[in-house]
Amino acid sequence: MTAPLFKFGYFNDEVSLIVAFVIGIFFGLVLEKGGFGSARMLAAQFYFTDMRVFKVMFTAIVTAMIGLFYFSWVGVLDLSLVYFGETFLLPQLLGGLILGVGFVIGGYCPGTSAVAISTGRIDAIFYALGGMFGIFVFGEMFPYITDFFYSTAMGKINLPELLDINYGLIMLVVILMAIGGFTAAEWAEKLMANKQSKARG
Amino acid sequence: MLKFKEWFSHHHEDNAMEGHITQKHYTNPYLIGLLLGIVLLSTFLIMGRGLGASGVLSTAVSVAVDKVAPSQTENNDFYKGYLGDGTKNPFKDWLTFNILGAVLGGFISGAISGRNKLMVEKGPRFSKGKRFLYAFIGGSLMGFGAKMARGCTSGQALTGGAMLSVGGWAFMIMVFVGAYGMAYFVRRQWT
Amino acid sequence: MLLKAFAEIPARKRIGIIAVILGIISIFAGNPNDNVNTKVNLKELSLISPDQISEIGVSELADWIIKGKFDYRLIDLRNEEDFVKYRIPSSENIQVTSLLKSDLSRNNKILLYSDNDITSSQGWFLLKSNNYKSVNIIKGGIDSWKNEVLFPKCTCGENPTIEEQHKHNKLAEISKFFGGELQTYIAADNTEKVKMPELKAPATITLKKTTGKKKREGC
Repeated sequence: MTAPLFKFGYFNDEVSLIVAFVIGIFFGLVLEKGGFGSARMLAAQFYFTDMRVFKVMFTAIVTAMIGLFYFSWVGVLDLSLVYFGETFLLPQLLGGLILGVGFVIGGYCPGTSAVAISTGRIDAIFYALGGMFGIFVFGEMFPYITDFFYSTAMGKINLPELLDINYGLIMLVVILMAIGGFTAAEWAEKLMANKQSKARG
Repeated sequence: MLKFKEWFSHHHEDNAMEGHITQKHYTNPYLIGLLLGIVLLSTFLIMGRGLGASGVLSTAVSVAVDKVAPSQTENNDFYKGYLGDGTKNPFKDWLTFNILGAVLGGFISGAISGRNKLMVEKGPRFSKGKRFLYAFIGGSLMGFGAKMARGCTSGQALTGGAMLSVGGWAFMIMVFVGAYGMAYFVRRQWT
Repeated sequence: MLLKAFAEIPARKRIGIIAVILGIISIFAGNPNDNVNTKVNLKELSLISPDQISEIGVSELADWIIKGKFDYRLIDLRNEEDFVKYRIPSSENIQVTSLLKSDLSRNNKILLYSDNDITSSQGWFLLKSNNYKSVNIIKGGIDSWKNEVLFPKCTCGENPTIEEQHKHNKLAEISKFFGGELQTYIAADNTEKVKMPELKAPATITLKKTTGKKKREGC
């Protein structure tokens, strides 16, 4: 077992920052190429006119998920060393809802706004400033919502553990759901395109 | 497979114009998704962690508050979490360098594809000023929500999603509920 | 034939088919998290000789604590009662039975101590056999800590050399830092045992560590 490389001490903190930068470059390249740098492209998901971002995102999730599984299966990766956040169900549900509302109003999410700023989208600057303001508000409110923030703690838990179902079966369900989602997305895009061309006459 | 030339191909005629979504110059979404998945997977394999984007903004806010009113951060676990134990610069952090790289990567890709252009992303029926206001409001909600959920789209949805994290999937579902629920009310901004 | 037909369908469908096949195989592949335990060679571990177990001296640990070096987790394996009475600063109390259930992660540098070296060795073996990477034992445990750090005996004679005096002062300083005291006595008086002073526990000292919060890993 040799991966994750960093956690097995193959390189130190300083080098990890360089790694972060290089990975970031690829992250930025792919995001921009995926259309994540355009607020209209991102917002188009929510009007079913162009489901590109949805497709990119779920293909990425499925790819990484399958990769993680098989790398640990062949014994290269120690999955228990890979960090993922603990689950606090209620705050995460509420946070997701607020973030979703903010997504369609603001047109970006934090990662995509970085790419949008670097490609010259002026609105993305306002978005990032808003983001900092929102975090500031949260920080100031934090002492009053601490209890809620730490409520419904479930620890570091994944879906197979929660449902007590075979890890592979959950993966297959996710894969099939993604493929179903993509089919529906393609269909919705065609439907909306027809509707628009009809409306234009 | 994906051709190098195709990745960086330059389409003058369909560069993004205001109020007009063009699609042709973006490559196949599934291939891009595959590549994004590989970037994410490499991060897991090399670093043992996922990607994250909102962390930098949080660090910036925490540092700013700490500079202006140190007493505020003293008793606030939220700010303290981003300031670290004081032994090193809070910005000397994995997420900061990650996002700096993303800014550069986005610029490179945009430059090669001819999409780098000073512009405002909005629908044709919407004024610039209103768009800036909406962007700020949306950003604020996003910042607040991301902190409440302990992660943003990159940190929770992408990373947590791939790790099959319960919180990540719960978060992701609610993002879509929130966004689709709100979409109707701000449609003038985009269409 | 099949391959040719496969090559002719669109790329997105090819990706989809591969994903589904991988998904189906994965059902029979078991839980990836279980993989961790099966890879450890228990026989090899049990044949390990004592000198291969990494030990850390108490004076080294004292040095780290004073310098504010906290890149490790210091685990006290004794029972809670003893832990409350006195503990080495910055340590956490986890009993051997609950080591695996604790929040220690496999890449933590772990230092174990107890009031006997057998308990520490048990903890070492348990963690090591579960693939924890860096497990270390504090040599001599809490007794060594008392005898060598808190209440060290001065070994110098009546007319100490400058070097000895320097060493003497350093020991005194360290023990003072942790709330102890250097035991001075004349070397010839060996017969009369030095009385061990009562420990005022837990030692209240201010560590260099500030809030002690590690910067969070998520975003």
